[in-house]
Formats: sequence, structure tokens, C-alpha cells
Amino acid sequence: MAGATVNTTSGAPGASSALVLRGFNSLSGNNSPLIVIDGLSINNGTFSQGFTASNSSNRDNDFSNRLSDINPNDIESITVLKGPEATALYGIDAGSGAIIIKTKKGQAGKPKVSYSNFFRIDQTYLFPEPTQTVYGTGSLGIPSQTRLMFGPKLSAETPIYDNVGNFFQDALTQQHNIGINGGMNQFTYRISGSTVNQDGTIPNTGYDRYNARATVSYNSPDKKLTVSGTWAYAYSFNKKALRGSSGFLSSLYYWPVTDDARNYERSDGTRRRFFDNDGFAEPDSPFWSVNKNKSEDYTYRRNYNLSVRYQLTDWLNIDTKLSYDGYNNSGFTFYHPSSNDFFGVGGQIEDYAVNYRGLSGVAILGANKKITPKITMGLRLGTAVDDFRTDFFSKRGQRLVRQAVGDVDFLPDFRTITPNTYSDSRTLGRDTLRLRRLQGVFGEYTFSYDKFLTLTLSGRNDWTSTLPVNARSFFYPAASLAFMFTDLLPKSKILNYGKLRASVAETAKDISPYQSQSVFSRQQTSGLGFAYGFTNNNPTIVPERQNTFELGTELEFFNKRISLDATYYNTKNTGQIVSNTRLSYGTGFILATLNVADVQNKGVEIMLNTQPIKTSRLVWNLGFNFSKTTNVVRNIPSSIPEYYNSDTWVSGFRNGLVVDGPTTAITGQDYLRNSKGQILIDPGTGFPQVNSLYQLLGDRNPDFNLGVNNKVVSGDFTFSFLLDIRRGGDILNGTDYSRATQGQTTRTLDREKPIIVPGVLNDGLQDTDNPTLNTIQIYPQFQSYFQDGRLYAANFVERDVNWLRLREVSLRYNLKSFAKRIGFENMGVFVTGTDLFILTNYSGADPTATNTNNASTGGSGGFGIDWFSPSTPRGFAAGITLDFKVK
Amino acid sequence: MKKILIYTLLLTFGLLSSCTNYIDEAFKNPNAPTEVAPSELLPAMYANLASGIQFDSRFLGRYDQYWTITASSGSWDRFGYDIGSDNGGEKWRNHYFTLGQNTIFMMNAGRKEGKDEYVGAGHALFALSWLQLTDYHGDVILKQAFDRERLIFEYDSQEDAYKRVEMHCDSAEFYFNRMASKAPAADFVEADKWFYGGNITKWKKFVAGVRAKVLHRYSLKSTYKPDEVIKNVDAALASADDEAMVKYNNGPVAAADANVFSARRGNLPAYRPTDFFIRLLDGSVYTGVRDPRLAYLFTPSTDGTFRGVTLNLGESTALPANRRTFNFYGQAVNTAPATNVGDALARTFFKNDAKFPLMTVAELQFIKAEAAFLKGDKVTAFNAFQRGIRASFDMFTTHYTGYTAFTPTQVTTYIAAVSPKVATDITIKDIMVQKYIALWGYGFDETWVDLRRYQYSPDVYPTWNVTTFFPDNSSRYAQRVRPRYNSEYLWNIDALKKVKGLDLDYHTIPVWFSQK
Repeated sequence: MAGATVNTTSGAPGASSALVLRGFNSLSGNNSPLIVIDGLSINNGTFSQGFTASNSSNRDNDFSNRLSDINPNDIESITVLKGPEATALYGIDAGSGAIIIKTKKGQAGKPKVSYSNFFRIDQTYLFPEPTQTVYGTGSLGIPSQTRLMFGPKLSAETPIYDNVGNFFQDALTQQHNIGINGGMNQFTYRISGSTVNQDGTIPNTGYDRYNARATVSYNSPDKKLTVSGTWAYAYSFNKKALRGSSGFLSSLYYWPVTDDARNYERSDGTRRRFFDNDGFAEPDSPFWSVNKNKSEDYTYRRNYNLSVRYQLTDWLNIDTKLSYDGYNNSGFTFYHPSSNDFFGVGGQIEDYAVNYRGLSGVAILGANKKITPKITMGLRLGTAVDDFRTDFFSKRGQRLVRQAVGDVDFLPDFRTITPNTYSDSRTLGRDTLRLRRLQGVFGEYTFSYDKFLTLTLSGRNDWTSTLPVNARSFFYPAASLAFMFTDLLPKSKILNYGKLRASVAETAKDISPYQSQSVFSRQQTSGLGFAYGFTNNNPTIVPERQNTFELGTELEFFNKRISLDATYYNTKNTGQIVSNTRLSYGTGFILATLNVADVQNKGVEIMLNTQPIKTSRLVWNLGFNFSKTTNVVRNIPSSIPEYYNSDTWVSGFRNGLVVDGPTTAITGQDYLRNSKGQILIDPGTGFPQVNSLYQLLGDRNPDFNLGVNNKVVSGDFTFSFLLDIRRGGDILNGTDYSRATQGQTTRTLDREKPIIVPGVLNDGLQDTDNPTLNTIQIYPQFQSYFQDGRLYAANFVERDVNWLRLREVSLRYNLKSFAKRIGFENMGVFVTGTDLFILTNYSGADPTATNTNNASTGGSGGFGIDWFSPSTPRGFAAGITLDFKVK
Repeated sequence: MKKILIYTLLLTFGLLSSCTNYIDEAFKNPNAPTEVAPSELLPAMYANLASGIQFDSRFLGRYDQYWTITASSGSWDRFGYDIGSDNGGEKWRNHYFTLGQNTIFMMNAGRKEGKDEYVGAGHALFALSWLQLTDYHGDVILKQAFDRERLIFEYDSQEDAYKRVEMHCDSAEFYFNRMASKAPAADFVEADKWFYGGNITKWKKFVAGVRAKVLHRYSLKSTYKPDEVIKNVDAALASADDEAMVKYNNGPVAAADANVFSARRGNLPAYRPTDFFIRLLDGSVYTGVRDPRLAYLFTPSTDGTFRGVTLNLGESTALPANRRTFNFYGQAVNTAPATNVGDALARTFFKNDAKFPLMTVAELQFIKAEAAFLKGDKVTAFNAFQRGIRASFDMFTTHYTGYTAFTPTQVTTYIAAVSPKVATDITIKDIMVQKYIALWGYGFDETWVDLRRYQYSPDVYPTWNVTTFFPDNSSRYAQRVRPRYNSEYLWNIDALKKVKGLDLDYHTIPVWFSQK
């Protein structure tokens, strides 16, 4: 899909992914498109750890985005509305575009049963640079009780363990789908079900999903009334490994290769440590992490949909839809009491539950009439209501065992914790309710002249409960003009069809609930009571505005053997809401939510579909999907030199935005430099000095994305493959950065050789014409050059990362004639390979799965910031499809 | 068909008209209050007014030479600061954030509810807070402060800030005067349990005290009016019972409920009195006269001698055990006491539930003594001087009990020993040294104002001797503390630049009050 980007959090099963159409428009808000199923929106949220009792950053866990509850086999078609044309129909939540999904419906006739399945083996095959085996553990060249690999040289006899290789496993996924559809008299129906059972390549991870769905439709004999109802249910279960700095992947790559990490547990059930006498201060072994620290979540999803359409006259109809969308998502995270991060508090369990329900309704009165044989006019008037309610509950308990440091009770599994020990725990609870209600009225007028010229004017007024009363109501118009210029030209065999289209549209976005109200928080000082919380939630906040201009063309050549669809767009976002930005305490607060920034987003999307070969024996379809977007932060107040999302702030780098920088920037620590850009050196030590202000280090936005889609059909064989190509775009390799400071990468091998850091002394002459060149030698091994972070984040930005990935390759054989012979309608077998290989200049594991955070993080989030993200595994799958009719 | 059309239209309009209510119901944040009663805001304000000074005294106490740390070469010991750190920025935070909008909200709510006591208290607390803030930082954000729409906040002069203090005193007085015939509201009495217990007469004395303090800041100016200062001191706190004490509950749940200086909070484990301060008490400066407060405040080394740590030198780890100094929690270590020890060995201001004085009789009497002295009325100065010393002893025996009390003879003997023989012999040194001693442990701000007014002069403060300064100081003393780093040095740079806040020696530029 041109212009659509999917940023996956990781390659683990059930991982969240953030879907973005045409770049990032909101700096701190939601940039994901609205998901519309059969005319009404569904929730595609990802649980944010900000709602847990400990209110933690979105870094150490991941939660599926709720679109994953949908069974792909129930989908008939997907239309993507990338531009703001979606908002007139679907309201402010479609400000970042909309994905319009139509589901399969029943078809009249005898019951038809379809069954399909596949079995897939996944294998993790992309790893970062292996740990060096020249130096052992220690610091400053001396062996010591540390995982740092700055110790003395290893002797040849030292055993080396392949901890990484021992860790990942091959994993099986199986999926079965069944669907029955048919109809009699005025009724049609479709009933479907599916099961997915996926094991992860990371031990003890997996994802299961069960779907059931039924659709019944009624058509009155006079064809005037259509009623359709859908009932859908899904259960999913996600068993996860913990990510981030205390997660398994960092500990796997940190783990000294001189130790066998598989040996993770002591006979008394406590954690085996690399060194025995350091309490539990030593980080967890990855095997400990995935076997003893647990995180699971499960979701029950329900979706009910009713639609009624009545044709009043041949030119006037009324169409109403109502839907209920709800889920209960709950889960827990458990840290064993002898795990590194939690031994001080005696272990931790944190539970959470989210109860969501959305009620939506829309009614549209539509008129469409031929005024003259050549002129047709259409008018649609509608109103829509949405009511979203989310309740979050979370509780946390610590001190799961009575404990002094180094004295951990036997605890084989967390479920054996008795009420007795739990009552001794420190508990913390947090409940949050979020209500959001929307109301909209809209109209759309269409004028068309003989298919040659079409003019559409639309307008919508929305009311949202998240904004204060005087900013709550807002109107936004749109206009578009399409013109089939080939009608003016003589008929041509080369150019069969040509259309130009242009549109201007305005849309608006509201804020998250309650962000315009500053609240008081409880105080623990003597006398208790309240005081204002940190955030100046400005009561004068207004919606952010988005103006888009779009120009496009559709061309078809050579009997549709070549077709081209190209679009240019330019979007200006003004009065952007930046939430929780820091300001002078002069406001009386520490953080503020304000309408202050402007962002511009421009881009080109080209879809080229060709049919190089078309014979009766062979048809080859070749498609290209190109998109390029550039985005710039046009304005941030000068008092905010850098606006950043603190969840993305890991270790000396973050997603930070500066004026005239991209909305997909990386900012971080760089050396202190003089006016000529030379590195400044401490005249006392010879070490480079760090700039305490974060500098713009890179742009994660690619130069372009290109998808290449191939499909060859010959007789009963269908062969297809999909290539995913990206050019440019920077990635901050935080994994490499972190491992370098641990002495694990080859970058740190030259440690015995004295070096002189190229630069000039910061001695007062640094900005003159004759700065003093640095001549001070330093001995990296003995002066902790690497482990003290003298390699700043700026050294780990990998510029212009390109990749070519084979997303999918598939061979299908149709056995129709064989199927008929044995009494079936149709039958097919297929083999598929997913993510089989990647060609890239990225030095880390997998450039396509790099995200510090999960998809609930606002703004442009944490993609392109690689901080121990599991890579995407490759998969080999085979399956069958089977159709038969009930006689 | 027409019917259907009409029904549809009716339904649409029905939906729209009910929409206002329907939307509005979902607006308000159900997870936390957006409005609270004024009585809910008052207790935290006291705690924050105290903790601003208390936290910053970890650094200001070293400029004052009241105390220092056992480690050597502290940047604050050399009259510098910690670069890129919020150290020394707690008053800034507490003034703008923890008091600021809360005080404004409380006063507005008080006005709405017709409860003048809240409006008066808000003005009185603001008066003291602005005074401390500008004493400490010099130029501050004043006129544009608390503007919720603003992005850049310009600085105003200290002179303007003092005018604001006087204005708040006027307003506080106005609202408290309106209380003359009214009993304070019950919720005010309850909330004020942590300060004045709802006693409006004491509040009025407090306001007169703040006014005396601010008028005395003009002592080097031609506009200085010593009679006004004396008049206000006479209207202010008269006895230890009037003293402005922030009280702590020290309940079992949260440590925030205990005194910031306490053993339980453990904020000062490595702090020791300076040798300079010990010299003023142990008979070195007042030859042979040992101050009864010495043993009341401090624990001697195990050899029985009271010692202090020299600014910037720290305490040598090679020192024999019997000569080691003790921290305020009564231990010769640099760590907070274990839970089973708690505050058992801590003294006075360092008990878990110890009160923290915002204003004392002693402080005001010494102000009066100095004002009278500057005016040339040495008899009044002498009497206020002696009353100030006595008030210091009274403060301990009233608010910090639990030790062997001072006997009247001890106090009288001490006063006689440190006073000039005749009233007319009194010197500014006599007054300022006794004031300095009396304000130890709480009057960090007032003392620093005095030190700067007298240019840290050893002629006024005998044996004061500082030779090592922070590199950026060019051998000058600190004259102001830089605004909070994470507020101003990152997010208000444009405004800060205009007052030279980014200059390397900004903290050594004299403030308005210390210049003639």
C-alpha cells in the first residue's frame, strides 16, 4: 500500500505495530488511522503502561494492538483513505486517514463450506554482532566480578559458549479457518471460525487466538429494505518475554560468552549468579528472565453490528448503522524475587485490566438523481454519535517473600505465593476511567457531468467531549474536483484512460480526554490534603488544525496493461498540541499542554501496475508501490529548544524534536564542539567532552519505500512474491552502543593501543584561529575510555539504512479437477516463505524491527531506535484450501 | 414515505439537542479533583514553605558557614554552585509550583466562599515566600508569573519584588482586619493546625513581622525608614507562643509527613557544624564564655570537645576516632541512622516531629536592634539586643524541649557576659554576631541577607576567613543563587540571558539590597 507504513515493535508473536499513513502529523498525539469495519469504527488501541499502578514507561513490555483481534479470513476488501477525505465521513478520528474494511457476507444458494489451514515453522536468524572472544570479564584490564568485558585476554583454553544460539528455538504456528455461507429466500448468512496457535522463537512465548463470527442479512422482496447483523467474538492470549534494559534480550547479549547462560537456576530455586557473593545485584541471565519472569495478557473481544438501509424512492435512501465494540483485556507481569531489578523490593506482581466499550451510530440520508441525461447530482446528510468508555484497573504488589537481601525464600512459581506472604506485601492500586464522546453532523454534495467532471463539496461539524466547552465545536470543509481529460482527446490505443484530480481539505484533531483540566493530587505532607499536579492542562486549548492540498492522476495504457496512480500531497498542521512539554516553572506548573507547534508533511505516492505477459497460458502481474514523505517541524516556541517524548528516552538518546528538524528526529548526546565543529578535549585528561544539550543526530524517516509485487499465474500454478525495499532513514543502534560500553563489540578491541582523540583542547583558545591540537595520549584499557560512555550516542547513528526484504514468497497449486472428482468444489495446496532474507547495510540485527517503545507511544514514537528489539524470524509454511457445497 | 422522512428529521434534531448535555457529561476528569476546598490546600503550603528553605539549606547553610559536609572541596563551600543541577533550586520550585497556583486557587475559593481568613493567609504566605525567593535569587519572575498561557517569562528587579511583598502584607492585613468581628471558619482552624491553629491575632503579628523584615532590606538605601521597621517589630511576634512554627505530624505512613531535617528523612547525614560557628559558641570568640546553646544543639566528639568542620576542607578520614565530629542525628558517621535508632540521638531541629521556624521573636528583636542602632538610638538597640538573646533561649525552652533546660541564671550570666558594659557601647558587631548565633538551624535566608549587607566582613563576623573560591568566582563571594536549572537554564533561556543569568559569574553579581 503506497503511503502506508507499518512500524513493528518487535519480531515477537503478538507484537504491537503502529500503522501510519502519510507520515507523522501529530507531535504528541495519535497518528494511527481509524479502522472502520462495515461502516463503523473499531478500537485499535495498544495498552499503555502509563495506566499501570507503577505508571511505567512504555519500554519493558508490549501489548498487541487490538486490530489483531480481527480474523483476516473474514475480510472481503480493504480500502485505504489516506488523505483527509476520510474525515468528512468518519469524523475527527480519521484525521490520520482511515482503513475501510468490508467483511465477507453470505451469498444466496446452498451452503458452501470453505476450509483452509497452514503450518509454519519460524526461526530467528538475524542477530547483532557476536560478542568478542579476545578479552574476558573485568574492568581496566583486571579481572573482576562484573559482566563488563574489559578484563584480561582470554587464554585459548577458555571455553566459549554460544548463548545466543542456545537461546532461540524453532517455533511452530498453525492456523485453521472454516467458513460456511449460503442463503434461502430473503436471508443470507455466513458463519466462520478460526484458530491460531503460535509459538515464539523466544522460549516461553506464544500467541493464541480464536475467532467466531456470524453475519445474517435480510433483503425484502421489493429490494427496498436491507437489514444486516453481525456478531463477532475473539479470544486471544499472549505470552510474552520482557523487553528493554531488564528484559531477556539485553541480558542475552550482555551475558559473558565465557559462561553458560543455560545454567540459570540454583537447586533452591533462586537465581544462579555469575558471581556468587554479590547478592542479587548481578543482572539476570536471559534464561532466567524468560523462565522465571512472566508476562501474559488475554483479551475477550466482542463486536456487534446492525445495519438497516431503506430505499425510499429510486433516488433517495436512508442508511443507519449501530455498533457495539468491546473488549476486556487483562494481564500481569511478574518479576521473581531474586531477579535483579526487583530483589530489593522482594519481587513484584503487577496486574492490569482494561474494560473498553465503544458505542457508535450513524444515520445517512442519501439522494442521487439524474437531473439531465448528462448531469447527476448527489447529496448526503448524516449524523454520527460515538461513546467510548475505557476503565483501567491496575494493582501492584511487592515483597512477595519475607526477605533480607541474599535470603530468598524458595519460590518455584509465582502462583504458589500464599495469601500470607501476599499480605505482607507493599501494594499500590490505580484506577482510571476515560470517557470520550463525539457527535457529528455532515453533508456532502456531488455534481457530475457525464463522468467527465466530478465536483464534491463536503463539510462536517464535530463536537468532542475532550475539549472545553468553547472549543468543543468545530467545522471543517473539503472540496475536490476530478476531471477525465481523455474524454477531450481522440481515442488512443496507447493512453486509454486519464484522469486528473485535485482536492483541498481541512480537518481537526482533539486531545486525549481530560487534557484541558489541571487536577489536584493527594499530598502526603502533614495534614494531607491536595496540591496541583505537575501539568498545566491549559483550559484555553483548541483543536489542532490540518490543511491538505492534494493533486493526483490516474492513467491507463495499452488496454490497461499498464496503469499508474500518482499523488502529491502537502499537509500543514497548525496549532499542534504538544502535551506534557517542559516550561519555566513561571507558569506555576512543571509541564504544560499547549497549542504551539506547526508541522509540515509533503509526499508523493505512486502505484504502478503492469502486466508484462498476458497469454492464455501465462499471466504475469508486476506492481510497484512507491512512497516518499518529508516532514518538518516548522515551529516550536523558542523556550522549548527540544520537545521530547520521555518514554523514548533510554540512554543518552531519544525521539526529540527541534525547529526545522523532522518529526522523526533522533536527538542525543554528542561531543562538545567548537565553532568549526571540532571535538573539544579536556586539557586535563585528554578525554573528549560531552555537550550537555541533546543535539539533532539523525532522521528516522526513509528517503522512500518501495514495494514490488509479483504474481505469475500459469495453468493451475500461481507463484507470487513481495519485496519490501527501503532507502535511507537513520537508525540509532542503541544495542550496539550499550554493548560497546560493556566491552563486548569489536569496536572496543583496540583497547591496548594508546590513542589520541582527534580534536582541540578546550583551553580558552578553542574558538580562535589557532586552537591547540590535542596531543594527549590516553590508554583506553586503563582509563575506562569505553565503559564510561566516552562513545556518545552520536557515534551509533547508522545513516541511510537501506534494506531489501523478501516479505513473502508463495507457490500455490490449484487442484480443481481433482477436487471435483472426489466431490469437492475446489482445492488448493500452497507453500509460503515469509521474511526469508534481508539485504541491508544496517550493522544491527534487523532494521525492520527496531522500536524502543510499543505502539501506544504518541507522536512518531520509538521506531528506528533499536534498543534490544527482537528481530523478525523467517517462516516456512505449507497449507491447503478446500471448498465444498452441501448438496 | 413522508412519514419516515419526518421521523428521521425529528430523530436527528432530537439527537442534536440532547447532545450538549451528553457531550458535557464526559468532559470532566473523574480520576482526580479539578476543584478542592481551600482547607485542603493549606496544610501542604506550610510544609512546602518550610521544605523549600530546608532543602536549599543543604547549600545555603554552607554560604552561611552554619554547617558543611565531611567531604572536602564542595562547590558550595567555595561559594560556587553545582553546574547543570537543580541543587539549590528547591525554593524556586516550591514558590512557583507547590505554592503558586495553589495559593491563587485557595484565595479565589476563599473569596468565593466569603472566608477572608484564607485570602489573608494566602497573601501572608505569598509575602514571606516572595521575600525569601528574591532574597535568595535576586531578580525573579514576578509580573509574568503564573500566567498559564505564557511560554517565556521575563525577570523583574528585586526592588519590584520587595514592593510585591509589601503589597501582599497590605492585602493580608486588610483581610485579617475584616476578621475582627468574625470567628475563623472551623475548616480553617483545622487546616491551620500545622501553623497558627486559626488564631487571627497571631497571623496579624506574622504579617507585621514580614513587613518589618522587608522594610529592613532597605537598610543601605536612602529610603530606609528605621522607625517603620521598629514600629512593625513592635506590632509583630511578642513571645515564643507567637512564633511562626511549621509543625510536622510524623505519622507512620509516609516519610513526607516528617520534618525534612529529621533523622527519619535522613537528608543531612554528612553535615556538621562549621568550626566558625563552634568558635562563636565555645569561648574562642567570646573569650572564656561558653554558650549554653552549644551543648543544647550539638554532640561533642568522644573526647568531650565540641568541634566543627572547616569549610571546604571536610573531615579527614585519618582523624582519630575520639576527635571525629558528630552529625545532627548524634552519630559520627555519614549515613542516616538505622530505623531502630531513629531520632533518639538527634537534637532540636533534627527530631522527626520537630517544628521548623519561619519567623522568631529573636530574629525580629535583632532587626529592631540593628534598626535602632542605624538610627542612632543605642539604648533601644541595646534593649532589643538583650531581648533577642533571651528570646533565642525562650524558643528552645518552648519549642525544642526534652533536654536539660537552661536555668535562668545560665541565661542571665551569658547575656551579661556577651553584652557591652553600658548601652551606648553597643556595636553593630555585637548585634550581628548574636543574631547570627540565634538564627542557626533555621534563619538561613535572613542570615545570608545580613552577610551580604555587611559584605561577609570579618569586622562584623569575627574570625570569618574564606580563601578558596570556585573557579568562576574570580575570588568573589556568592551574592545570589542561580534560578533552578531545570526550569530556567533549559526552558527560559531567552529571558534569563537578559539578566545575565548565563554569565559564568552570575552568582557573584551583587543583588539590589546589598548595594548603596
